[in-house]
Amino acid sequence: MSENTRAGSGVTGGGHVSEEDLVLFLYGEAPEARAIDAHLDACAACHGVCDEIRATLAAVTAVDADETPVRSAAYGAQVWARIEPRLSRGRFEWLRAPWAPRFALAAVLVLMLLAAFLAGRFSRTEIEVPAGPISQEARDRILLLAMDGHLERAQAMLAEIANLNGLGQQTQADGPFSGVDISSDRDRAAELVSAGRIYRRTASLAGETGLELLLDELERILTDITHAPDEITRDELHAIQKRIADRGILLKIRAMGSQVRQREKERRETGRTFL
Amino acid sequence: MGRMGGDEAGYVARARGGDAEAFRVLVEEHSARLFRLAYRIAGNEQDAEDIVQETFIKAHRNLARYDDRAAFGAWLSRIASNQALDVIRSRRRGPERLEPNDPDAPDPVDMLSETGAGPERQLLSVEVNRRVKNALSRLTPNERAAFVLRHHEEHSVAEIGAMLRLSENATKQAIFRAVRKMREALRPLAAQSRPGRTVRES
Repeated sequence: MSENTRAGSGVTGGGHVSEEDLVLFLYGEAPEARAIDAHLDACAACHGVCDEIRATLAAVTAVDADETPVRSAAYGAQVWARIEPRLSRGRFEWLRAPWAPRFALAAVLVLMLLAAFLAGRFSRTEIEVPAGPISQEARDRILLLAMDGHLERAQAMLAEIANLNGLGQQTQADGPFSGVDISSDRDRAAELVSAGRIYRRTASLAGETGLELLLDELERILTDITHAPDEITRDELHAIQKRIADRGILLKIRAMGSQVRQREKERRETGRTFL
Repeated sequence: MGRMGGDEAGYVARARGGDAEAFRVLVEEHSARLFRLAYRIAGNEQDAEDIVQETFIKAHRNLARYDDRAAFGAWLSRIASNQALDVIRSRRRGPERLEPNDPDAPDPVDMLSETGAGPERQLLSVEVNRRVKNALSRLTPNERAAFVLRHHEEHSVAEIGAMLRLSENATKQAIFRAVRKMREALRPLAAQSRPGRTVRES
């Protein structure tokens, strides 16, 4: 009951029930419900306000019934299918993935690169780095190694989506198009976006402008995929495929990957170590 | 609670013990309800889908912290509500404004009172729908969540306060403000459909 309500009656000092108490009354939570009910029978003003609030709440209920989508009985199973892989993935389960060793190496190398960058930036003033700053050449090689795996994974995923239509996918001629499940691609795209942001920043720090631009372009396409629903229509699939094709992103990734591997190979052949 | 045969507590206990199958049953049981809750707070399907999934992932992660004196469904609602609040806060966009009314357009309420006929009723329905949606979009995240939990989910003020980590008074005020905003938006329309209640002559 609001503070301006007369104690024990549900009625304000001015002789009316407050709007707040009427709301609580309509929701069955007014402590003095009987007193309010009796007052409403006698007071046309409060009765009118109460009816207006009641009508407002009824309108909200009616709109909600029209607007809120209904999920079928199968929805729970769909939710389970989407979350189950994430639940079974324990804290260190990802280490069992086939790409994990390379990814872990890449992550470590990127961290080393960042540490080295910071060491190089601050070592002349305050920070002492026991191993000493690494050379520009070593930084480049770390970046190249990390990038190789990332580009390979991105290329594989985009190639899979680009080829979805031609490999046994249902066509309109076969019957109604039932959609394509890209939920697993979406999850992979999300992982690539996260990793790619680190690589892009690193490429920027290393002055690798071409690589940075490619990663930026790649991130935009991958981000679009992360926003897609689990199942997309033929048109939505075509839109994604068109975007991949129009930008020639697969070709660019292949070219950059090849360039990265060649540079890494040349550096390896010089026999120089990282640090 | 059909699939669980009234033994939700048993399924929760098994899920806490690492039984994935038991957790699956709980997910299947509560998903549709949580989707409605998430949709009502977040206001769109995609966010609602994400909220439902994140709710179960968080619940799974925190099963050990679930206090079984509270209903499991209410615990899930609490997680989902806060998840939805995070989503709408993170949008960081200003409230949508009610479009200004065209001064030359006939008031739908007047049209209803003049004719009371089918098309006009449909127009009124559209107008009510538009105003409710606009009013909902003008609510703050706390007002929206508190109102949804009170009006649609029928939780008590005390329960909502616990769910949203608000004092009881703050919860009441959030609900009152929400109702007032909607009442103001709908006043011209709602006044036309007041249910009859006999007022004693004094």
